[in-house]
Amino acid sequence: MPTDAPEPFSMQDHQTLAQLRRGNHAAIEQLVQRYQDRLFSTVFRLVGHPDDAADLVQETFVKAIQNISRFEGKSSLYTWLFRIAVNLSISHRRAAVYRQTFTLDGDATKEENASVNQQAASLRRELSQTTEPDPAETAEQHLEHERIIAALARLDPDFRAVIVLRDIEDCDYEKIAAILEIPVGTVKSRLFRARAALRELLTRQPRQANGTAGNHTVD
Amino acid sequence: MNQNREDLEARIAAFIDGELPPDEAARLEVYLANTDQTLADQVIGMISDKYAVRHLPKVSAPEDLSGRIMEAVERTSLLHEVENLTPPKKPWWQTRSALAAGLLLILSGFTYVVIQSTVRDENGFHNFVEGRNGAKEQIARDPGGGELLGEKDTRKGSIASGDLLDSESRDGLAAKPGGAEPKLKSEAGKHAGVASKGDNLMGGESHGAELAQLREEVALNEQVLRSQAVVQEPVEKALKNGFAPASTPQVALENVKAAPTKFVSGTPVLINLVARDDGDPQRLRSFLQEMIRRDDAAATRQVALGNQLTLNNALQQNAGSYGVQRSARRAQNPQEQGKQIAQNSGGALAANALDYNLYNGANKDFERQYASNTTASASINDNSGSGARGGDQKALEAQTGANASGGSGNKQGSLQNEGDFSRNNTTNTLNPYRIILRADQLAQVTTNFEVYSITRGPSAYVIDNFTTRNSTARRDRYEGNSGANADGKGKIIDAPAPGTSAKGEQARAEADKESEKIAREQLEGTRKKALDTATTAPVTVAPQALASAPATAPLNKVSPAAEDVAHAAKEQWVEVIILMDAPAVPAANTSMQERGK
Repeated sequence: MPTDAPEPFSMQDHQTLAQLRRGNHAAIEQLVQRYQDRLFSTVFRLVGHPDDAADLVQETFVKAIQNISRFEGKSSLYTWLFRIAVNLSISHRRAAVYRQTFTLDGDATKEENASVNQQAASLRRELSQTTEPDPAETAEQHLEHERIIAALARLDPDFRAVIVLRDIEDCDYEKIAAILEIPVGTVKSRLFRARAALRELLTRQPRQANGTAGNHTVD
Repeated sequence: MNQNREDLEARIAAFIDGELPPDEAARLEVYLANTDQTLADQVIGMISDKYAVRHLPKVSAPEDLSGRIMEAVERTSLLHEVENLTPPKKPWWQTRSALAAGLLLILSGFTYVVIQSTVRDENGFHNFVEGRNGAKEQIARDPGGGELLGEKDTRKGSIASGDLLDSESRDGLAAKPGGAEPKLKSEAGKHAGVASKGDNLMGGESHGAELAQLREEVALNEQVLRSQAVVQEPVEKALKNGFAPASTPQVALENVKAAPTKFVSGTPVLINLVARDDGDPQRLRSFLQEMIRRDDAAATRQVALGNQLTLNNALQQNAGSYGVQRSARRAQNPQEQGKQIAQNSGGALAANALDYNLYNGANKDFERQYASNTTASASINDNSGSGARGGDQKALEAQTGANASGGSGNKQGSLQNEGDFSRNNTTNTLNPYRIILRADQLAQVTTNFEVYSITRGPSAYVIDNFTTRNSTARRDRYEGNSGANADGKGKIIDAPAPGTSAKGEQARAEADKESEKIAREQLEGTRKKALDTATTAPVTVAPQALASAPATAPLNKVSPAAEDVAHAAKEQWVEVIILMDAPAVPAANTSMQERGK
């Protein structure tokens, strides 16, 4: 999963871009096949829901094809796609806060929603245990993953984006700066703050918790 | 302070990611341990969290994600196209402005007309009307022109001849007020001479003979124009019987482009049109026949006009008719007959024939014979030269009798015998259909029919006067053929496969035997001339026919080239033959045609 260092605009990108601008159907399909998994993984970590992630990845490609003529080639196609995807994910995440929807990965930010989210968390665990009958020794690891995912879900979208890009996608600072369109120094400082927020969330949400812990959103 | 804080955060982030240089990392560790233990603990927790996050399980995209994405992309692009196609709605004020401008324009025009009609000089206006009516009366009384001029109508401005003028010219003359000097259409370039003659006539002087000649020329010219109209009719009209125009086949265009000198306008070229497997051969054939019929009709008119070019296309239906038909030509000139038979001795008569006759001089008669031909074969019999085309039609009855029958002055230009048309092109399941086309006809086919290709054998080239493929070696190999046909007009040499026509075989053999002696004598006399002209005369060779020609062929003293035999055995290609120097259209007629445009 961890990916590459900054990708310059390669010859392959040149060819792909030329074909995309001609509306080459095969080139579009090739682009989708090449990047959909990586984009989905990133977007899923950003939004926390597979359906939303799939929709956002789909929207990412649609926007990319629509605006292919505006792509100047200053970065790689992958970076450009990531920028679109991350921006869409951040916007989606911010909009979701106002929509106050409850999902299995939803936030438990309000007192009146606590019971709902508790049921959701229980159901989620039950489903995961049903579909993935983990051995006993992996159960703890699984719960730890759940704890981290839950903490990530509560992070501010901007914080979540830098953590996902750096720690999951293994992007370097320059690439993160290119994707988020912020200076490299800002990337570093935001990364520190994001990690600090995540640390705080994980600290308040002790291990072996049942998903009911913490209603903290770090800004 | 804030800047220092941000720098510290940036350095800590880089330290966690291992991006900090070792010495700087060491200094940061010392700093954290000595100054802020809480921050130091937090950094340790961050490092732990980093690896925890990194080792989150991988997530795979749903299997149908790519399909969904592609559907969305296509749907969006289609919607985008539709949006682009939809004209933007104009604001209301633009529509109203356009309406107001239109109304203003109409009012202005109406006002101008009213003012002009009010201030116009009445006398002048009446003269205008009178002159116009007079001119119209004159046209009505004398639509043919000629006789009335000078005697019954000495008034200047009358029309000399209605035949000389098209409707526009008449209108132009009639509209001249006050008996203005009539002028023929200036754009009718070819009519320049005619117009001047017309002017003389209009002066009141009678030139009976000149007038008759003039009228005859005009009549001929109109016929030319009509024939041109036939030729230039859109192909859609010719295709009304169910022929749908289609895209131009790339193969045909490339072939034409590759050999532009072979498709010079007016130069007849025999090519092979082979319908593709998915095409409808009958439609292609019908299309070609219809096109030939129309062009033939046009050519017929040209003959009637005294042109030196007559195209005579005939499709023969039966195998035997080929020999009969051809023998009629031979009968007119025993010597030429001998030459042609000598040429054909290496091959059999074709199953069917398409005659292409070029007549010179006063030859005005023509014949057209059409027949539906399901076996689709054709041949070329080219007769060029001057002299009356006598020919006893009864000589058609027998091949041998044709050899002895008389006739003179018919100079045989060249002869090409068709091969066995039962051969199929290996790349097509259809029988090849052979026909003669000119460049303009070829263009019609290539632009209006998609089931089309031009096939050319490995060495059966159309060798024209300008090609370099007519090498000395090749010429020598086929010198017998060249000699038999040398007349300076053109060479078409093809020795088709023997035994392909059962009916004509026996008669042909007898004819060969009787004419061999004559042919040999003629051959010796023409050999030198043939060698002289072969370097420039167009020669086409059919290797397959040569490959199958009998070794004892009396005049074809050549052996087929090894590569020709190999090719003939490998693939049953069909010959591409012919090039003739078609007599140019007389300049006078050409100019008339241009005038009609």
